[in-house]
Amino acid sequence: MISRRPCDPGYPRRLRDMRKPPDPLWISGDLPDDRLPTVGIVGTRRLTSYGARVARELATALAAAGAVVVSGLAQGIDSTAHSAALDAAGLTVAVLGEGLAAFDELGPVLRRRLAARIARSGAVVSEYGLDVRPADWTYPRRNATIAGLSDVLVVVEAPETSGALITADRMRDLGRPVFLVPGPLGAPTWIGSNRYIAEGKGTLLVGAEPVAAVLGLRIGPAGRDPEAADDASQLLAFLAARATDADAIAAGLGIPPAEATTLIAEQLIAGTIVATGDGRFARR
Amino acid sequence: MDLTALSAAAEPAADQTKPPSRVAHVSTCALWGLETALISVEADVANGLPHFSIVGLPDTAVSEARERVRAAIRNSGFEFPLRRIVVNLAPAERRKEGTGFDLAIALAILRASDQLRTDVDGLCLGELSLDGTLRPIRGVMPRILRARECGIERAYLPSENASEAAALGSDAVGLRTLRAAVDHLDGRVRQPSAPMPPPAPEPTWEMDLADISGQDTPKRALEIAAAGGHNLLFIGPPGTGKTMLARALPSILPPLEPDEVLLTSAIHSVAGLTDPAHPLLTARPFRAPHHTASRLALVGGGVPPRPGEVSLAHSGALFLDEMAEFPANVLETLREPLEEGAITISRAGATATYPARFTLIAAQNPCPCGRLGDPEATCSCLPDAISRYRSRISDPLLDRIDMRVAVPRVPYRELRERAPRETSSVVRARVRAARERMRHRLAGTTRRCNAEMTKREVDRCCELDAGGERMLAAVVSSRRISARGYHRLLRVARTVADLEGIERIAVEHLALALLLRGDT
Repeated sequence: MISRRPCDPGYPRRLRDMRKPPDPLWISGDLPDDRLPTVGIVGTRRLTSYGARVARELATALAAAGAVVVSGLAQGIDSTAHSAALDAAGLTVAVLGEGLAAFDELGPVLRRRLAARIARSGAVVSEYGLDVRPADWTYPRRNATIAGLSDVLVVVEAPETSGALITADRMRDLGRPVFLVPGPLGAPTWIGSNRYIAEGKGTLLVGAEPVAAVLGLRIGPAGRDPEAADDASQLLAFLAARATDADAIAAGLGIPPAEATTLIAEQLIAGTIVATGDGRFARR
Repeated sequence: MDLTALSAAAEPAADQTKPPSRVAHVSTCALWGLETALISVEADVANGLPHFSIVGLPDTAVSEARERVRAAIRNSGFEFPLRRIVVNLAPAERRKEGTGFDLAIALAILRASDQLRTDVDGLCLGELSLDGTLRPIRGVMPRILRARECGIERAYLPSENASEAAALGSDAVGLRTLRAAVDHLDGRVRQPSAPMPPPAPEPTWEMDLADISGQDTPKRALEIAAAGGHNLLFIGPPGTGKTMLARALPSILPPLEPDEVLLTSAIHSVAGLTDPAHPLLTARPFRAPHHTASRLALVGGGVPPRPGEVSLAHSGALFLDEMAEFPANVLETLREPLEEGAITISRAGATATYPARFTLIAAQNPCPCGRLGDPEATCSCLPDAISRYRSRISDPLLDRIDMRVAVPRVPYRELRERAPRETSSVVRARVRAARERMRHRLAGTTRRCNAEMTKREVDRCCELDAGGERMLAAVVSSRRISARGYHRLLRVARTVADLEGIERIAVEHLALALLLRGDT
């Protein structure tokens, strides 16, 4: 664990654009090279399975293309983005709203494990003293730091009063681009992001490519097999919006249950869909 | 029957001319868990200061028999001998428990003091009250079985327990009082032997599968669980019918096999749950303990160790509603019986092994608020709260659950649909046919259904067709499936094929097993 002041070499240069850069910044692990493009992926803690899928797909595609994924290591979208980036063998940086030592001691065990994985290749950083405990007032500044570290920001899923929208505001202050994933009208976890788009403050996101283009990257060929059987792609399309159970899949695709069973089993083996642990199936 | 009994009774009476042996012998039976041993109660009435002692490792309840027997003998119009009385429970090296020895002790004393003029030729069981009335006891069935193995066909026991013994084919004489016992033995007033109780009528089920609309996959899973004995977990929002589905299980379970009836009934007899009108169980037990149940209630315990819910559910089903609400330490105690099919309860001075081979049917909500995955409601749970809720059921326990099935909310139009649905009796016929195939395949072993197959039997009996082999190879290479999971998967696939009456497991059978397994 080391600390860096804005005048030190090794301090992330992007943070110097901020009106009041974190001073000092505590770092666990190695910050990725400043020349690598960075993308912030943030969103609600209370995520839907659709939000989780989009966050995972975006983080996977951008991390594989060479971008550093920056997020806040909260439960929900943040953790999903971090772990997807790690699974794609990419680099990722987590910004905490509490002291590094306090998190190591008191943080939830699952995310402590995730933090350890992040620090092995990337870094976990915080602008708070080592033993500062998290509180409501520590998060807005953390959100600003995420904005400070990101070239581009993607807000995946944000309810009306979301910290992710604070990050988006700070991005606009810095004059950096903000993309937002649109969601279903009336869904409480999307009200904030939909309104942000409607007010013209951010760009509506339609895929990973525009984000990559801003960063000067190219998305590799899609992982999906274009030769995939018709039924399989129908199944994936049916599961695009949300996870559901076997009976609903058979009814939705209009095929006999036995056929649906074989189809689901084949896709489970192929790894394109996963069981959610409560008897339903979701796209990976 | 009565005539032969009379002549048998006449002979010992003639023996009275011999110099009387002052030691009387009466047979009874001791019970530890399900383990039994024939006990000979010996009474010696000798000259000396008035004294009454019981030796042969009696526990407190047996020692207290002194007071009960003394009062009962006096209050039945006999004389309690004012001499030196020693009663021995032989063999003397094991501790005897319970109140079932009272009748045998009283008859032995009466015989030794010549107030009973005939030797007792049968097994005596029963507790005495102070006025000489006989009270019923627990655990008659295993004791009668032991006596019959030892060649004792006749039993004298409280009239409430007589049907239990008669159901096992024993010549059971039900008695109300100590006086009646002596009168019967001496041939003054003969009591008739208890008739064989009528077989239990075909039970009526509170819930039929036809009462439940929609839910095709959950019903399918229930049928597979009933046929193969596989463990099943229903997950769904509140009010979608998880409990209804589970409650419909008894209506599709096959009836008990003749060789299962005795053991299952004996466990219920030890627990004191026998129905006097129909002592032998015919339907498989279905036990549904509430989630406030303690560890001891679930697996058994106490001194002497009594069977718990897992043993009462032996050869039937154990239903845990709201499984996540059971305390973690209670759930973890299920692991051993789920794997071994038996539970050994060890306490200071007492050990009992009860069989506990049951099908586990469990139900739980998908998340703390219960609305996750419900299209008509929004879940308000944070991801951490959901994973905490899920982790209340540990991975080792989940690994032993073969099927995890979602029970979704049924749309209104399906609820209103009046199309005829498959009834339980149709499903039950399929389940019975599948069981028949399993029995045939596992003939010569003690195992009865696919869930009990050993690994070697899985390898021998689960032959796949070409497509099935390909799919299984893909499963093994792509999903880090555990060795236990691999065998459990094949057992379920075997049952799916058995339900269709097909010997070789095909792709669709394996696919359904994989889909129902539902793990990540």
